[in-house]
Amino acid sequence: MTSIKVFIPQDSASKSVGADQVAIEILKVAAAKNLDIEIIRNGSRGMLWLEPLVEVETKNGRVGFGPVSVSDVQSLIDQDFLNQQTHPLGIGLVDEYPWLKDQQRLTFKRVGVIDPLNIDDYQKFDGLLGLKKALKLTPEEITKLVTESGLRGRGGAGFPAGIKWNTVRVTAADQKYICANADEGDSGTFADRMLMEGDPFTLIEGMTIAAIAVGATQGFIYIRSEYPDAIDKMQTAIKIAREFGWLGESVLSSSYQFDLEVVVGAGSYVCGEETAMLESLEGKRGMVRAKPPLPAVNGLFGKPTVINNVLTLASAPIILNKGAEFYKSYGIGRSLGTQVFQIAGNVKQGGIVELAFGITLEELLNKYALGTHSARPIKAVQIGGPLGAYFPNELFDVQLDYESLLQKGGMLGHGGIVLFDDSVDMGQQARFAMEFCAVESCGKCTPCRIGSTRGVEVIDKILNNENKKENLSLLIDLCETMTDGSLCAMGGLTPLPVRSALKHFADDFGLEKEMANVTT
Amino acid sequence: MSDSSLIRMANQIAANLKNRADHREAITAHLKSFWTPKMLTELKELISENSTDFDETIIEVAATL
Amino acid sequence: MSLLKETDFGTPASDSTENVTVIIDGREITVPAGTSVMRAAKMLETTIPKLCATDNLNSFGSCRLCVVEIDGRKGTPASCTTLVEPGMVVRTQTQKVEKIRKNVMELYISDHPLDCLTCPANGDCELQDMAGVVGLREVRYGYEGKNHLASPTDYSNPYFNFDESKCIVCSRCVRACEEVQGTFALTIEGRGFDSKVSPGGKDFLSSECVSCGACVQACPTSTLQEKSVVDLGMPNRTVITTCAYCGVGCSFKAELRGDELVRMVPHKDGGANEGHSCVKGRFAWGYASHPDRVLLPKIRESITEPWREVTWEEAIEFAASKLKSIQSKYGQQSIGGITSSRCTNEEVYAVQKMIRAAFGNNNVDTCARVCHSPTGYGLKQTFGASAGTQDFKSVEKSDVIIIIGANPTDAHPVFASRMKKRLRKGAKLIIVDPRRIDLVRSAHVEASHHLPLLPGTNVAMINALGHVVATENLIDWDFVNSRCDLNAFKKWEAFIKQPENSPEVVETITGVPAEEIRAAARLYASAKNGAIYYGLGVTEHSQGSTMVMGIANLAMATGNIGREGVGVNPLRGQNNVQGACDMGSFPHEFSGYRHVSDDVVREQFENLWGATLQKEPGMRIPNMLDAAIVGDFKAIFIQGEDIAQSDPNTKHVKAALASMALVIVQDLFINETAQFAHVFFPGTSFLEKDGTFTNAERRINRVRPVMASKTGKQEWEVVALLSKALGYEMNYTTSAEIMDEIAQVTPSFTGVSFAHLDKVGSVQWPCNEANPNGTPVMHIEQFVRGKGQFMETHFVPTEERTTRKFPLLLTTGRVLSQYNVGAQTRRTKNSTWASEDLLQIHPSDAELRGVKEGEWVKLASRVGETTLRAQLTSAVPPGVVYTTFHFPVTGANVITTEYSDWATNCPEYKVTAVEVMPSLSGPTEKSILDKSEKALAKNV
Repeated sequence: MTSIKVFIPQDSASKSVGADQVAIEILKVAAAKNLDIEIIRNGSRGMLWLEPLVEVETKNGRVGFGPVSVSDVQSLIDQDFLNQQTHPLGIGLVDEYPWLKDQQRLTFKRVGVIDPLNIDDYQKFDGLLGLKKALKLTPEEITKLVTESGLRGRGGAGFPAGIKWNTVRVTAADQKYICANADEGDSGTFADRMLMEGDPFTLIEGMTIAAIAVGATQGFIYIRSEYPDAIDKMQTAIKIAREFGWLGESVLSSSYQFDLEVVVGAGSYVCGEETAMLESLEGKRGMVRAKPPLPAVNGLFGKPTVINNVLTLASAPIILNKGAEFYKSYGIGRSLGTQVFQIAGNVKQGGIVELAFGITLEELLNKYALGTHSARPIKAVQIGGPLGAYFPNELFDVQLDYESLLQKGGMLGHGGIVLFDDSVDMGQQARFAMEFCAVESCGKCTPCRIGSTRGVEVIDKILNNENKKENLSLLIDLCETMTDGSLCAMGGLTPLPVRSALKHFADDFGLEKEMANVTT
Repeated sequence: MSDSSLIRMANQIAANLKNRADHREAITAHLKSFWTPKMLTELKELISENSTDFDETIIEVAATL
Repeated sequence: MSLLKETDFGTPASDSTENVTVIIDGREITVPAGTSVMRAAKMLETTIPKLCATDNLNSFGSCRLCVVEIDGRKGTPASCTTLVEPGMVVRTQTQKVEKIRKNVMELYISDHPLDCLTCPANGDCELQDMAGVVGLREVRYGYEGKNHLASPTDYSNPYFNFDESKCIVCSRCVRACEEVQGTFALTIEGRGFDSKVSPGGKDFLSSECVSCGACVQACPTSTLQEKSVVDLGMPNRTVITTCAYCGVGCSFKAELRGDELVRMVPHKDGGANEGHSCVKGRFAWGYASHPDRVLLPKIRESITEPWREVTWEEAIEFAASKLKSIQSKYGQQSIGGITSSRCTNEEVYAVQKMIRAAFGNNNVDTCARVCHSPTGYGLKQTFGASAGTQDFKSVEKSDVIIIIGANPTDAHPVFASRMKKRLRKGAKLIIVDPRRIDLVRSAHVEASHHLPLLPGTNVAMINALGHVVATENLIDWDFVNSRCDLNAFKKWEAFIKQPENSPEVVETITGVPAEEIRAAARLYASAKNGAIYYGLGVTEHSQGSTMVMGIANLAMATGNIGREGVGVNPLRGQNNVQGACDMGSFPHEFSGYRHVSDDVVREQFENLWGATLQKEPGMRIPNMLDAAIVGDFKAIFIQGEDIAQSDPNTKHVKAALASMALVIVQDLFINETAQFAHVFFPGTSFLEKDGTFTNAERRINRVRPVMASKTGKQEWEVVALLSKALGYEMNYTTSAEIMDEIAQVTPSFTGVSFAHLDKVGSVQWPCNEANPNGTPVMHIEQFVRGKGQFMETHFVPTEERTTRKFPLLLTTGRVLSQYNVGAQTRRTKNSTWASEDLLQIHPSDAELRGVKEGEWVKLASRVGETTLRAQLTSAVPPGVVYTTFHFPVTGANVITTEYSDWATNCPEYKVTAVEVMPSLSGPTEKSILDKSEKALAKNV
């Protein structure tokens, strides 16, 4: 008789709410009852309010219980949760759970489903098919396919991935590199981490496809130091991939050579900016480089380099496997495929929502977030991380795609959606944007280095009713200087939350709406 | 010049050139190019006084100067 | 001349051969591809505001003042980081960019002291200039916000201050330290608003900083400021001149306020240094006005009497009458003289002319005797020209560089920086040196091979490298067949292939593993461009000349001669070694290296000079000193050299000097040699001289008087007066006339004149009808001698051997901050970094002898002994010790022996068998002559 499989996530979000202790408790209590169970530590399904979400494999599928605490374990066992679904924590068949069922999981297909480091699991759920396909194509065909799929950079800039790959491909060099940007520093974002913890082989496969496409033989995954579990998982996965010949001198016994290395960041937000990341990878201070030259031409150690976000690279396998037509059948306009939204902040049901581009913010809030954790009304939603714009209720009908958000003065960024209830002071939030920049700026360019500090001071003066009109105009001027004058997106985008707060929440600055509007 | 210096210099030149096929010509040319007439005279005098201090090649060459 | 401000194009020139045409503010310009928009604009004389850009550093894009608008591009790209593209239409002055610039300046000034009127940089501050250019009228942020105004000033460096409160964090200093100097001492510390320039650690003085001044020069504000400017104020006029320290020969702008020298700033158009400098040339010029300077002539009857200050007339008459009476008593050959590599070509030429024409003999030699005479000999034999083959710029094209017996980061720092720049771009490096010099491994530089050979085994090593080339089919046959004398080559080939030259045999001689030797040879031979640079570690051996020829053989065999990026390059020790040799300072040669026995040449000189000249060679320095002790040589004229400190076996030198009836010294200071003098002619510093120096790359640079001669005379005038008093008139009225004469009689100088140099800056000889603009790279079509001459280079070991009594080998060198015998640098604040000679000894040798770090040790050889402090370091291998000879109190040359190069008598400074033992006390002040020296000397 085979033992019953019980899935308890090992994702660090789940662990932070006691998944490890729950796993131990279940083992302990089951042993006492002589129950034959096998515990599998999967990734998280991304329903964070349900973590730790314990799943049990049944003949109908996996049944979930959550959030499970150590004190619930005895009652779960007592109520025979391995065979019955009557426990109050039960959510029924996980795949049928509405929050999950309607999602369009392409990139996150396997996250939470498989044992992250089990290569059989990985292949059982279509792993490696993309890479195998890529090995049958020419590099030019691969870049063409990725271009046709419409895949754009998921780190924030939204640059077409295929075009970037092609630039690296056609740039002659004795050495090229693939770099995965896993310095996921935006507040309210966690998709990179969850993918690396829950399905690391997908990133490896995606990077290997990119390497074959451009002629790179070495890749680096730059992971922020705050992600020890992701670092550990990736390193172990790379080791396994090498052992099985997925990486190394002959990728899947082909003529292609590719290897990977994890590099740990040193706690700087700006190192998520691609050129600062290159500096950091080279062992230097994480300072932004001027572009051009583009990293695709002159990147790591001066060599042509693909730098993509984790999610961009992790989308490559399915694109190769299912084809460009399949991928671009998702999404709208020039925003094709799916976006992994991360809902966070003051939210009732936060987590990972992967959907085709084009859903409105309203739908996302109504169907998935279900209001705030505090149960107070939503006052603002910040989209795209700390440098993204704040959206008021009147703009919740905005479609979540690159162009629509831009049109409304916002940006998609890395897909972070952060909710604030009506207790938030948007004046303080604007100040925070400047303060964040002042702390995290690399210090290279003047608008960002000095401007952000002056920004905090000017906002303080406005909030303190000092020469309000003059200081408001100075703030607007400063925002313009930072937007137009900064070297990189850090200083260039900091005015975005500030301006949106001013524009939509003039009250919080003690300003007449008209006054704020005139100047924005 | 002191005798000892002169002897050392002459022998050193010989030591460094004597492995060459054209060592006689080379040593002659060297001495003529760089030595003062007085040094050459002293060299010949010293050889005639006590040739045992000198490398054989120097003695040969000095005879032709 | 007013203060010279060189044009700053903002970004470096592109060396692309492709051209791109763009339109900037409606005007079209065609520039090389890879040129920045900023530079292209400046070429149209359109100045785009900037702070972080300067044309000796790569573009950085941080200040955001240089933003422009480009048709078809969104936003406002920085013109420094944006490269021109065909058809690009740029607008540099739109409302939008002007607003950004003004607002950015406003941010800068919101965190900057408002003390322009009392700031040392007032009038020379780019921040001040830019505030004016962008029309900043108010700072709306006020000045009460967060700022750095209370940041401290670091006064630790003796030559410049670092006032953090004025820093605008443009990183120009950090980048200059990295890109120009290659030291990587500076960094930006902290993030965001807290970003600040930091020398790492406590302060500048205790940091890795080598005080080259590149950061000070790069600073657009008063943050890094020369103390001399703080003290004296802004200079207002410039005189372009040439540094008088090492053989790199850097061009400097002497910046004066009125007649007072305020600072020396490296000249961007200087061919040797291209705007870079080292701590010596940049800062250590204060000796010129040191109170020790002697400004009036002095005479005395005997060296035991005190000096008498006299008039020039009396001193010259005194000297002349003594010279005449000595010659009449002891013969025409009983006097002679030494020219100085520290003096100008014109001064040197005058001295050798006086000796040949007025003394009537060829007893002239020069201090190159003790440094690079083997270079002159060896390269003349093989290539036909006694000089290095390349210009310094050539190193930018080298792919593999071998450094043999040289320590460029200390001794030729500005060239070292140029070399390191190339190494950082990927050129490979091989170092042949007993010591682990800094270049073996330092910031962003690591040698592929270090061959730490035993001192004295150079020739064995070069033969082994040649052996590998010849036996592993690495010979460049095209080059050898077309460019070299094939008979000589075949002889060499047969010789070099002999097993005695194999790396395996040579390993037993040099102590370097055969495989390492083979790998190094292969690397050099297979390079597209292989270059060899060498120093006194090659020449100052009893086989120095053989080694130079061995190097030439290796370069010819691998085809590494006659184009950019290759060559055989002696790094000359002193500023005018090359020039002093060129000028006919050797006893056997007239100017241009033509033998005195050549009747045609001699007659030309005789006719021009109106004097009868001798056709046999005169005495070399060691011959003169030997003859003095024997009693045959009675009087010497010594131009700017301190042989009692710098020449080997100083006991012997001192005895020789004491044996003479007349010693005339022309110098700045009463040096060690002057202790033995009867006549002292005060000399001029380089700041007073009018003439030319010729550096290691054969570059003839103008030396212009920055100040009036403190003695009232140029040195050549004194020589001319003495000559006249001896009965031979020279009749020059200016030093330019001397150069005209040099050009008239020297085939490789016929195109040289002060007027020409003033016009073109500098030229590298040969500069004549065939090469009117000079010759950066020699031997391009053919060798000067026609076919390249391979020479057999048999290894004849030195007689200097370690013994049970003297089991260690001493080798010598110099440190960055001090120079040669230290006469100049010891009289500056450079002694902050090195105030005494130290004995480097390996910890295991030290332990065996009970020697401890920083404690006194006695260093003894068979000829003498001295005491100095020990420095324990694994930079020297076991069995080898090392010291410098900068300080007379140490007198390291008390130890060195009488052995010398077989061909040129260049002393064997680099190999002395010694013993080291702990000593209770340091060196004591010595009497002028000790007992043994007195016994050695005649007539004392």
